[in-house]
Amino acid sequence: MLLQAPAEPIRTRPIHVDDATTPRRLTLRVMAAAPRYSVPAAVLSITHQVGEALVPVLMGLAIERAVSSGDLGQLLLWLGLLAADFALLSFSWRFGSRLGELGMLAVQHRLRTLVTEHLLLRASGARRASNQPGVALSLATSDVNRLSAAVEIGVYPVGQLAAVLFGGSVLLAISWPLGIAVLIGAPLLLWLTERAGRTLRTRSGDEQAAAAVAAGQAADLMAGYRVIRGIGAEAEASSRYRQTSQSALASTLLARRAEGAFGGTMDVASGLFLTGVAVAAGLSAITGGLGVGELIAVVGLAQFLIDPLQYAARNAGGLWASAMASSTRLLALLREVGPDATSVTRSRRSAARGIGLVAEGEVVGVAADGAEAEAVIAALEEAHPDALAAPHEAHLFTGTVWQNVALPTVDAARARAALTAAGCDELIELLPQGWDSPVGENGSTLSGGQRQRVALARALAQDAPVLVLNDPTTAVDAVTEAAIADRLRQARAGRRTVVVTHSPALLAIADRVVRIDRTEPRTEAAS
Amino acid sequence: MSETSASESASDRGRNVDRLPVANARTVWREARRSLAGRRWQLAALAAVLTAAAAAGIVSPLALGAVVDGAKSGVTSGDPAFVWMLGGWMASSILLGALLGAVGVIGASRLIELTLADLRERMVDTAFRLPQARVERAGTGDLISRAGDDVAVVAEAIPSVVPALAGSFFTIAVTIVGMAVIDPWYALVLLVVVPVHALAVRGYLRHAPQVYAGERAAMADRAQHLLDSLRGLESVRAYGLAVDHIGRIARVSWAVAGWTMRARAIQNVFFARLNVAELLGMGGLLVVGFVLVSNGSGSIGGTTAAMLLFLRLFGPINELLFVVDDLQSALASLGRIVGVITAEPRSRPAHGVSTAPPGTVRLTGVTHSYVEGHDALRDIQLELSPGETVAVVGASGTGKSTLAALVAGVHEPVVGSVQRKGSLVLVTQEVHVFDATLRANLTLARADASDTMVLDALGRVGASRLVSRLAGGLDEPVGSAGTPLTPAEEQQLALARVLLADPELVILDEATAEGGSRDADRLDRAAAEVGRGRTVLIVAHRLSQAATADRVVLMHNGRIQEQGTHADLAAADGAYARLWKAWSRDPPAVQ
Repeated sequence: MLLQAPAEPIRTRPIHVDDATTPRRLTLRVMAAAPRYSVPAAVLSITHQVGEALVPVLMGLAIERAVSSGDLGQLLLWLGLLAADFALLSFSWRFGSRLGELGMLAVQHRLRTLVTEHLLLRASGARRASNQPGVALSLATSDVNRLSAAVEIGVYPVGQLAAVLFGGSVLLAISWPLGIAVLIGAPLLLWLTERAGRTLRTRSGDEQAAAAVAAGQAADLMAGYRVIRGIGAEAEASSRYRQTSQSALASTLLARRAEGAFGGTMDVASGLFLTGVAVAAGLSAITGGLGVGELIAVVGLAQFLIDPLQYAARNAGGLWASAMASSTRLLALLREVGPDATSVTRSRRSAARGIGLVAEGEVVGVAADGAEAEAVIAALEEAHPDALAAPHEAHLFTGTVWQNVALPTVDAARARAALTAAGCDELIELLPQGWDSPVGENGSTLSGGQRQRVALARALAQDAPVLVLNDPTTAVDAVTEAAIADRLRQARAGRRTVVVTHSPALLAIADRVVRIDRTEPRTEAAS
Repeated sequence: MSETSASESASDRGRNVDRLPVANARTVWREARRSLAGRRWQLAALAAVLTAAAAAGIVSPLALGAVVDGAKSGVTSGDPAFVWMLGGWMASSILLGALLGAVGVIGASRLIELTLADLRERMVDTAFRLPQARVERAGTGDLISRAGDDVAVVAEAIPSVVPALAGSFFTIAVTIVGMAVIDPWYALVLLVVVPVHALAVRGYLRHAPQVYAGERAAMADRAQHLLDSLRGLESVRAYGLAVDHIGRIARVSWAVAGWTMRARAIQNVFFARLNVAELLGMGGLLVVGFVLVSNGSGSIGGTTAAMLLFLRLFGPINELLFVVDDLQSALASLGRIVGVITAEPRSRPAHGVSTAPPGTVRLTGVTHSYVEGHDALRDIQLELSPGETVAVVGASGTGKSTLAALVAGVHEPVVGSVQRKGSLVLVTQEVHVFDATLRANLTLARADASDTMVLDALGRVGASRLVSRLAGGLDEPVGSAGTPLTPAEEQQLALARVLLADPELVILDEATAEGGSRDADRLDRAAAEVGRGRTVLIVAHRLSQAATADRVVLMHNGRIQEQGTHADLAAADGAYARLWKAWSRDPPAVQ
């Protein structure tokens, strides 16, 4: 179909971020990033809105020239003009909205790629809110969506404003006092009702947020379903759910009341405004100042103009405000500086002293955990720049067991050997499709111990010259752990290996064991 | 809610999933009526208010028609007082209509929100009374998504759907009546246009749901890929996968764009058809007006009024048709919410060992399987006496957790019987810290627990430091939105809950496995403290736990392979002895 998204992302203008970039400037850059799409879309949006504004004008003229005259030729002429106008407004919307959407999507994609690259490639640093996956996800999705929606400000509100200007000039042409009254009165009226309604809407927003929090807590209670059943707290949990649900309900009802009152206020204001226009036009018509067709056009136009005015004001304002808020958050992320490296250096040095250099073929056991373990690992990475420090957290990526281990640089034989060494051979039979079984989101189809073994296999398969393992078998049962310990030694023959752990089974296969308590290393001998 | 899907884990593993029922429209309606019981008259009053509001809305177009006729007849009736009078009618009808409309929309939202709140509360209540095995077969993820996503879908639909339905339905109905009052032929034009709308909606509903579902799925895919890389950021860095993952994310991100454009195309076709309906309506009114005025049975004021009435309908009709898919997905979600309510909660069959003292457990000839022909447990005989601690050891996948779940009553055995006497608590590896204060997390186990009891429980599991670490002490919010706890602290929390619940029987299924290896000793001591004076079945993860138990049960392939005291088994020449030797292998001596 015409104007669908192409297979490859559409290129946009680059969106630069530097120290001088303000949220406002970033938002403007985003708005201007895809002019090849947004400019034609804006032109078509204007055409669409003018077409809409023409409907009451054409109808007024048709009633005056055709219906009241009884001239069939006139009727056909005006029906034809009406049809032409509808064709114009319909097709201009069809293509305009599609172009606008496509441009917005292209910008959104570009922005998301920028944010993802930053999140994945930046240096690791502690104490950043965006280290939490949930926070980072919300930046890369919600905030990117809201900022890129700023592209729409250059499309739809532009058309709506054009409609207001067009309608205003038609009114001016029909009757300049009425035209001026409408052109000044309508925006003034909207401004006043917006102001009056602002407190109502703010309140509604607050209440909605409170309701969302309560709803989230309620869902969280269900997430602990097994725990609740396990401790027999069903009745208590049920009553807690009822409490949160009721407080969510109370907030929601307040929000609905505020929204209803706001809607009513807007109706009163625009209705009374229209009545005023109608009375003025009617008075002018019965004294012969206005023709019947003009009267209809004035009333119809005044009725029509309320909508685009409202939307232009509310959409543009709302889009801009939310884009600016997201722009501020994204800028803070994109401009963040790397972590301060000096603070950990001292503890690293003292931690590293006892371990010394790891000899070729040696397996060193380091009995440490917590901050000491982290310091040891950091020190080892410093001493052996080619070291692979496998993270303790056994995070598996979406895909199969095999895909998680046979990473791009790993050949099949090595992956197989590593899987076997890490005790994953039994997965061939345990899992429905063996090693080709998907591990699920977060490795959720595997047990904690299975996950840890696959992660260990992934580390072994890298065949790194220096490998640092951090408590690799905490979730593995004692039987399997003993087997893994023996195979680990063989798998790492001729390479340098450090295992940070308190597990007796793993420490038992080490050539030497270093015990670290509060960064005071104490070396023990090889057996 | 993608965060919650991780908890689908263990029970979904390789099993046939048997989801909870989904209610059909009739059942949803029945349950909604039940929730609205006693509010019938409110419903009737609401309909009256909305009809009156819509009726007030057609006064202005009719009055404008009269102004046009007045102007047409010109000087004869050119009386400004007449225009002012009509203006007065219009103004008062607008005030009345706005007031009634606001009252109607607020009232309708209120009724619907009350119904939704009642339905979701009944759903959760039922969920906690369902046999747990039923929920495990469905996967707790199913339940979580119904309590989370589905409730959210309905709640989000209400603000747009209710005013659209409340306003548009009555406005359209009253407008047809209003047109018929001017002349029945005008009403006929409107009725002729209805099939065009119907066709537009039908075409839309035929294609839109799949495309929207596809779009949502693509968005979920995008979120999942992002989360995947963000959660495993350490691994992404360690294995140099960043560029690879950025490419992956870019692909799924652009896939969303494809779906969005498809959805836009379907919307555009829908709008184009609505434009056709509008054109036909406008043209029809002109033709009818032309005929009526020509043969003298109508006035141009009437044509004007009919035209203005129709012009006023554009908005409400679009609004009504546009909420159709919100309405659809809200109804689908309601079906899933009500489905839980209709799932029959069965009471748990009694398993008393009538003569035995509390804390006794007896398994007789128990065989259990999740998938037919694939026994997870076979022919288990096991008895636990009050106050006894029994440790279960064995490689993964040999049925340890199934044994624990059967003793806890999570599942009913396929063959044999499980008898137990006394209250019990099951703690698994799956700890959940609730999104609430530290205190509320603990009092869940005992609602009337005093702060002294709570602090005492924390102290006994070795978590006194936790309270002083948290700035707010017991009032500190923890859980997903609060201060994060370490895995060891989370497990201490779970153990403290046991102390507060104070059961006669405790089942610990690898409840202390997730901490780092040094936390292990501390957690093991806490577990021992929790078990004091109770019957304990502990699925032991480390053999040190087995060594301190009264009795050790070694499982192999769903059967009990060895059983006895640690000292006896370790001294004998069996599988346990070999295991113990490997475990307790002395680390190399000091140089």
